[in-house]
Formats: sequence, structure tokens, C-alpha cells
Amino acid sequence: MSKLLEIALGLVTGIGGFLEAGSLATAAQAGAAFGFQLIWAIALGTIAIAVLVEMGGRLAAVSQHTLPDAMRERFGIRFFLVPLVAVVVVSFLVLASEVGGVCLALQFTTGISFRWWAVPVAVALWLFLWKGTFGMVEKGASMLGLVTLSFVVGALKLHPPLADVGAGLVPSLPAHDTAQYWFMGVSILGASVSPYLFYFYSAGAVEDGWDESYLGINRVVAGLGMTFGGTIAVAVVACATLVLHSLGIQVDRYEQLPLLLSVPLGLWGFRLFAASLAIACFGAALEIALQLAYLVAQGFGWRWGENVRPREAARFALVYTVALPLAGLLIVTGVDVLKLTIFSMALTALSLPVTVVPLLVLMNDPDYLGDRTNGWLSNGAVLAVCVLACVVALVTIPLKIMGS
Amino acid sequence: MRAASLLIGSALLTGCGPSASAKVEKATIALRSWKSTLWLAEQEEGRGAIPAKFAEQVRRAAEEEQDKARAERRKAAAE
Repeated sequence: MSKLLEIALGLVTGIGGFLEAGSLATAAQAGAAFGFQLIWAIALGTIAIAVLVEMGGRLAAVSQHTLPDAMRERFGIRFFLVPLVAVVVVSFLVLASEVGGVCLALQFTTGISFRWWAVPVAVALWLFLWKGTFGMVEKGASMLGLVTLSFVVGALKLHPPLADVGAGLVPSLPAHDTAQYWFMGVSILGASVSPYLFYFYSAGAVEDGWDESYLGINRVVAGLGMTFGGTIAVAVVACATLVLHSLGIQVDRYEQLPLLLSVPLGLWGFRLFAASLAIACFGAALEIALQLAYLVAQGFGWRWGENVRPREAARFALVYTVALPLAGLLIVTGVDVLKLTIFSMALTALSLPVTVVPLLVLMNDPDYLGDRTNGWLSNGAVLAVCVLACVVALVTIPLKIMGS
Repeated sequence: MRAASLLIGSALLTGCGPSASAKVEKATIALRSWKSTLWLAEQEEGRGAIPAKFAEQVRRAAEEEQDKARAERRKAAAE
């Protein structure tokens, strides 16, 4: 395949795969509550995830190791269990949020309660993974995910004041509800810097057989793909600000969100919203379930691969076979999907040092990267964002739980 | 880090939640927000931008959340 085509496909994957339940819900809540004021959190998160995704791809291309595999080898199985448990817990909650997102999209269009959709959706996801290939999961879902660009169209039709959007790039304190402001900021960071993104990307690079000739593609795809993806999240903030914030509407339920696109785009906006939510969450759920299987299988040295038949990598397939029904069951209980989404994003932010610091150590180890180790700028930037997100999460999560 | 742990620790120890007046204010804001949501949903349904089936779901959600907010407000006012 020509390099240009690979870059184009990679960009499509980055753009189409960026928006999911977490980034959509956090951006919409932030816009409704604080207008354009939290755009800086999206920008910060987008830069951090672009750098992390590039690192995951570089590690795979240069060392032929996936992240969990290299972590276990470098730090030993006892240490590896710490990030393993953190990522498994957080990813499971995020997986349940994504399953809930698909179910809610189906509820909006059919009128049948989302709880009834949980089992069929979990089965559909499992079937897709069981029968599908890595290309179908990665490229197929992301191509369909381009429907999320409708948020950009919606935002443009609402004519956002560009000066205010630009001002949102500079952090500023809110006039009210400071704890909620920081909690939202941290949830946005958690949604943007989801570990599943760079774990999945690194495993995908090994599945696709990347070598050092892919380093240029890796850089372009990680940088541009994530930046364009972040633009969609900014568009969601713009829609929420102009449709909801202006009327004093705060987002407490998913049922309020289709109005973001119905106002600028009419009935087609409603349909596009439902399609965006369903496709983005379905694609993200596939990637998260697969990433959980990659993580466990690679960490314990089992045979793995989405392109391998399930019977030849049975324990790998067992992981997503267990995770998906459990996520579905959580939704069947009628859990508040919006709260689950927002809290799982804040927990993701809290767990960032545990998942990111080992990666940074690996990325500075010449045994793995040779002369392709990290520069001080990427080390410093990623570490700063992760520590900031973790500390703010540590403070705001208890405050939020206490309802302060 | 130390300041953060101190803040959380003292908050947990003193059981510091929001004051009654803050709870009343939060519930009032929620009620206002749902009133505006209902108004917007009606407008959207009226111009055919959302299906009636979905408008009904918004109405049900609004009812549930408004009941919750009213109960919160009553409870806080009684404190």
C-alpha cells in the first residue's frame, strides 16, 4: 500500500475514532456549564494524546514490542500488575459507558429503553470481534465514525464567535462552581488521554507489521489525526455553548444531547446525532474490548491477535468474551450512563501516572528504542499533563462525590 | 500533593458537604435548566426537528429530574 494512502487511512482512523461517549459527554457538559471556557482542557489533552500515541507507535515500529509486552519484560510481572489492574478497571468502566452510549442512541430512535438494548449490543460487539479482522475493527469503525464530523457542520451553522473560542484556549477561572469546573476539566483530560487509545494503537502497529520505515507515517497520523479529532470535540463544546449554555441548560441526562444538532440541522441533525453516538460508541467499544484482550494476553505472554482465529488464541478471545457481557450487564442494571461516563473519565485521569510513567521510562531506554528515544520536551510535556490531571482528579473526585 | 491530601482529608473528616442554601440553589438551577430543556424540546418538536417519540423521552426525563430536584430542595429547606 502506498505511504500516502496509509497516511490518509491513518488520518481517517484518527478523526473517525476520536469522538466516543467520554469525549462527547464531557465536551457537551463543559460547553453547557461553562461555555467556551474549558476548550484549553481539550487542547491540552489532544496534545498529550498525540504525543503518547506517537510514542506507542514508535515503540512498536522500532522494538517490535507492544506496550504491555515491553512493560512486563522491562519491569517484571509484579510491577506490571499495577498498570494492568489500573487499566483493566478503568477500561472496563469506559467500555460499559460506550455500550451504554450505543444503547441510548437506539433508545432515542426506537423509544425502547436502553436497558433492553444492552444484551443485543454486547452480543453484536462480541460477534464483530469473534468474526472480524483487525482491519475491520480499526478502519471500518473509524470510517463510519466520520459521521461525527456533523458536529463541525452543526457548529459552523451556529456561527460561533471565533474570538471567544480562541479565548477558551487560555485557562481562566470560572465565575461560579469552581469545583465543578475543575472536575469537568479533569474529566475532559481523562476522556482525551484514555490509555486505551495508545495501548490499542501500539498493538495495532505490531498487528500491521510496522518497522522503522513507518516512523514518518506514525508521526503524521498521530499528530494530524488527533488534532483533527480534537477539533470535533471543540465543535461539540461550541454546539453545547450556543444551544444549551445560552438558555441556561445544564446537561444532566443524555436525552438533552440530541438537541445539540437538531437546533442547527433540523431533523437530519437529530438523525446524525443518533448515528454519531451509536457508531462512535460502537467503534470505541470494539477498540476497548480488543485492547483489554491485547493488554492481558500480551502482559501474560499468551498468543494474541485479532487476525488469528479465536481457537488459535483462545485465552485472548476469552478476555473480550468475558468483558463484553459484563459491561452489558452493568447497563442492564439501569445505571446512570452519563454519570458512569463522567466518573470513568475522571478515574482515567487519576490513573494516568500509573499508565504513562512506565511508558516514559521505556521510551527513554536505548535497549528498546536505540537512537529513537524521547526528547526532553515530549517527556516533560506528557509528564506535566499527567501529573496535573492526577492531582486535580485527586482533589475534585471526593468533592464531587460529596456534592460540593 | 500535600495540600490536596490535606484538603481531601479535612473534607472527609469534617463531613463537609454543601450547605443547605447551596443545595437549594443547586436544585433551583436544575429546575430552571429542565424548564428550558422542555421549552426547547417543544420548539424543536413543533418545527419537526425531533420526532414525537423522542420528544416524549425528553418530557419523561425532565419529569424525573424535576421530581428529584424538588425533593432535594424540600429536604434542604427542612435542614
